[in-house]
Amino acid sequence: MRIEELIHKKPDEKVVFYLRRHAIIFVGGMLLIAVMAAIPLAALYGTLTYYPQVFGRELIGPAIKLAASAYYLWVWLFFFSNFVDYYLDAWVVTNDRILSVEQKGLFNRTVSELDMSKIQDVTSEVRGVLPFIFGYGNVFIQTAAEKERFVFEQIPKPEEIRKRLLLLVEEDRKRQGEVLMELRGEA
Amino acid sequence: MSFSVGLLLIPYFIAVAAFLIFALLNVYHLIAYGATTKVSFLFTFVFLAGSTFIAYVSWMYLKDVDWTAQIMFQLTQAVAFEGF
Repeated sequence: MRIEELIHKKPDEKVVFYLRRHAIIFVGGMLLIAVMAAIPLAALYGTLTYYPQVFGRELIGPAIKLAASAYYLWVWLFFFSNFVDYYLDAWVVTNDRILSVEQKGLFNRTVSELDMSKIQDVTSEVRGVLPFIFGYGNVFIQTAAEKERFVFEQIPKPEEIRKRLLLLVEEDRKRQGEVLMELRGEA
Repeated sequence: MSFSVGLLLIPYFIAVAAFLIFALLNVYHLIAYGATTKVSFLFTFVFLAGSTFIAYVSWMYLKDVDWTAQIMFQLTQAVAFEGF
């Protein structure tokens, strides 16, 4: 099953696009994990070079090996958690609404929905050196309600997404106008 | 006073048990929230393969350890007051 299948689509509703954070965000997390994995190796190299007798000791040798084993298992788990966190953050845009699914850590999850007809303004933002180089940024969606803005965070091609969203809003308004006309005609 | 080297295994097994619980929670999240795609299967496979590799390397390094060996130690204070 895919994330977009979680939404109960209306009869005439179709998924237009599907967004995740830019892949570079995931790669950045991977770099941190690579550094975490390299630190004990550097310490091991230093210990073997200057204090090789440490590993032969009855207590310290097994203690270091057990600690290293647990440490690497946890670093590897951190890698997987980083992937799950990245992969479960998604935005589904249909021709009728926007669905935001955000996973924060293992125990926090926020799912919110926004109707296209409520969108008043869409703003894209690319701020900083890395976002500029890799072409990612935020898209802020302002609604009529006095709620905080709906945000697509660190998504690729934010300007293009803003344009496509505005087109979808326009199409939705046209469609709703047609439905109203039909209803008035029937009345 | 003395204690067995095997005592070191207690915190290690606690860490491994916590690792397993969190790993299962992550897999559960992927399945429960509809992310069972080829990419998620690939990452889950890589994670499981990596975990198995770490467990194997750990076993290779730890299999020859004598966990029943007794470690003798003395309290510094007891040594300092030995003359009294």
